[in-house]
Amino acid sequence: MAGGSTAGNILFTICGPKCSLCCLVVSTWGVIMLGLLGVFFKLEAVALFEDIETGLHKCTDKDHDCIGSLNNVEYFAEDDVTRAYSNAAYSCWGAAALYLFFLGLSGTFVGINYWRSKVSQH
Amino acid sequence: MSVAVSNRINDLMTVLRTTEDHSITQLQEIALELDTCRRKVKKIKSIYHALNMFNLDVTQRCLIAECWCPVEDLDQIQQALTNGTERSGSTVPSILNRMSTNDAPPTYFKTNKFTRGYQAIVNSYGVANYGEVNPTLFTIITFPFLFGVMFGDAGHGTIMFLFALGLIVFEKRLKNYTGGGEMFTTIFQGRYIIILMGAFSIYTGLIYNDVFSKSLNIFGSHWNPAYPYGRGSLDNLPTTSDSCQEKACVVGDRTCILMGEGEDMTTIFPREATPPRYPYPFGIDPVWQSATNKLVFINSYKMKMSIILGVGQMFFGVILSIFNHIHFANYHRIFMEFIPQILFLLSIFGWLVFLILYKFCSYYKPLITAPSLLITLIQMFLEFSKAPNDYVTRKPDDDPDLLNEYSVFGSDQTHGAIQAYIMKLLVVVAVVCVPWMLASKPLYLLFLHKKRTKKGEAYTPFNVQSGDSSDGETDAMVGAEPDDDGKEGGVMHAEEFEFGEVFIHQAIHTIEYCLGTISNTASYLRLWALSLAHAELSEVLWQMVLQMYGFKLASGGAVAGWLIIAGLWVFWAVLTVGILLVMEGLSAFLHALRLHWVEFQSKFYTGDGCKFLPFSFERVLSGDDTDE
Repeated sequence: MAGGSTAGNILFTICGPKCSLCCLVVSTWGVIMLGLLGVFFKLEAVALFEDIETGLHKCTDKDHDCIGSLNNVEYFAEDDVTRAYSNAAYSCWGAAALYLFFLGLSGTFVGINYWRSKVSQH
Repeated sequence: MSVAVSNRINDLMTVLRTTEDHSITQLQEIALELDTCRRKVKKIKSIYHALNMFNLDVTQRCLIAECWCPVEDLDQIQQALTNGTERSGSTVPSILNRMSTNDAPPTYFKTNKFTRGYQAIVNSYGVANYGEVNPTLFTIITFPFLFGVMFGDAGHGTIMFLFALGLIVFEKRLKNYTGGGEMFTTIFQGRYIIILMGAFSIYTGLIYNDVFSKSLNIFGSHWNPAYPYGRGSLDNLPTTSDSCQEKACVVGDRTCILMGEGEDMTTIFPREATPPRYPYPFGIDPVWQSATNKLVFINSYKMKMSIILGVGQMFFGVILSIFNHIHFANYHRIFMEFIPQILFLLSIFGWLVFLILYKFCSYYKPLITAPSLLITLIQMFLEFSKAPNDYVTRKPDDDPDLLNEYSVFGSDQTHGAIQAYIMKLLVVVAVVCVPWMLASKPLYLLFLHKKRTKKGEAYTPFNVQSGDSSDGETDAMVGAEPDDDGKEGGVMHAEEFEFGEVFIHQAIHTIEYCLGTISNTASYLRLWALSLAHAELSEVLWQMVLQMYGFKLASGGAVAGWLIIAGLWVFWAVLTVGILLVMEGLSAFLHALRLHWVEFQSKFYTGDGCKFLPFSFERVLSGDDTDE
């Protein structure tokens, strides 16, 4: 009992009941929201168009990439757009995975605190 | 010698120590009981305090209490008295007697855990008079709805809803939680209000199409702007090999979207030439999020919506006053106050709402002939004699189709004449209502007073709702003085009727109402203002935190994009909760409350009553034993 309670004491000081509950809530929100955001980036939602870096090119005469004789033409390639959306989606999912890890961590803290409070009641 | 002294000292030290130990043990035992003892003392004190209010009937050696109780609970009270007699083992039963009195009874509303919060916020403004219409019933829905109109974000609404849901699901456990302080207790007591606020915010958020400042594209946009929108429409583009002259085309293996110089392709114009397509089924079209003229459209929409909601709520408030008049049998007030009030409100602001709705549903071609409603309303009064087509003096070579900015039904002469006729009628009605409100009631009361003094009657029971003294002063008129014990309630003294004071009082009331309709209607524009502020704050937060340093970098191929996003996201979440949920939530709560207290309740509510507070140990022990 003594060894177990020492371990429990150490874990308690990292995160108390309020802190661990707060972390649990924020992690849940993070997982759900970033997961959904990743899905919407992957689906190339237009609402998120302003959030991605498309590498808009401005065309000048000297630029051999320029199309025809029009100056000041801004264009972006479809592949750039797709790639940007995918990058954003994978980053979001990576962040969601990190928050999933935090979710597990704070879940265990909540469990430990609950167990501790039950034990100290007896 | 020294041995004896040191022995003596040791003895004395032992005595001191044992005494100290003994007193510590004693005090510890008492400390365990201290809380219980304090509660017992408080309870006993409160019982004796209540008993002190009884009268002693000396001859029969019993105590008499005069108190208020709800009529429908009389059986329960009788039962409780019988139980008490049995438990105390006495042979003398307690007798319950109903008496009649002219006092104004205290107000008692039976509430359950859901309605208690709303009743509390209505009571904060003023407890209802006995028998008055209780605004809480309507506040249960209108308050969260107006909050939702000002809050208007489905994402934030979801968080608020889930938070309140958590409080409700764990309410048994949280009821006795004292660790959060008074702030937590206040929020906990308002959990049913917060859950409804969240639910309505989700609804209005879906209508404004705003989820954490981004729009949802569920049905596909119903606008057709200059460049292809959405991935599917990039098919079937003209393919050229050299220069791209179209707005969008395919060149080689690239798709080009031409963005012209000086022209912003993200500005949405209403289509004038083509017939309008049917609109987006639910809510605001998602294309507006990407449009540069988004605010122009949204502002116009929200302002008009605020006016419609405001006039609607005020109209409802005036209607409620009829129930008060009927209940207190002040039928004369229906004809002398209610009808002119309704006519005044509807002839000006009902007309404005009608114009708004008419303009929403009609199609003006060319667009420049769409009427400016505000100017139309103002010119209705200022240029009373002219027809709307003549508000602007025309030069001979002006195109007649392009000049009508005030004609709502159509820009030709007949339609303009119809509008002119209607507006003139409404102005006449509104102007007539003012002296009607001002003079009819004092003259009627003067007439009654003269009739009574001629007949020589001592008094006539005259039920006057204390709305007559709504400014709180004791009225020197028809005898209803609700501020005192109500001994003279309902009795009119013939010599107390002063026409001058009555008239002045009615004049104040009339001016307050008439100016109030204008200022209160404008006050409802805060619904627009707060929702605009909320939307802009939310958008700025997203752009500055997540977009600029998060998604732009991550989509550009930054190395640890996921780490950046994870770190920025928690920062964004904290700011969302702190600024947008807590600060904006409190702000919208306050403004919705103010709209209810001032603009809605001033149309029918007096709130001069006092609350029914039965004896309760709970209230005594929690320390609320002041007269609240």
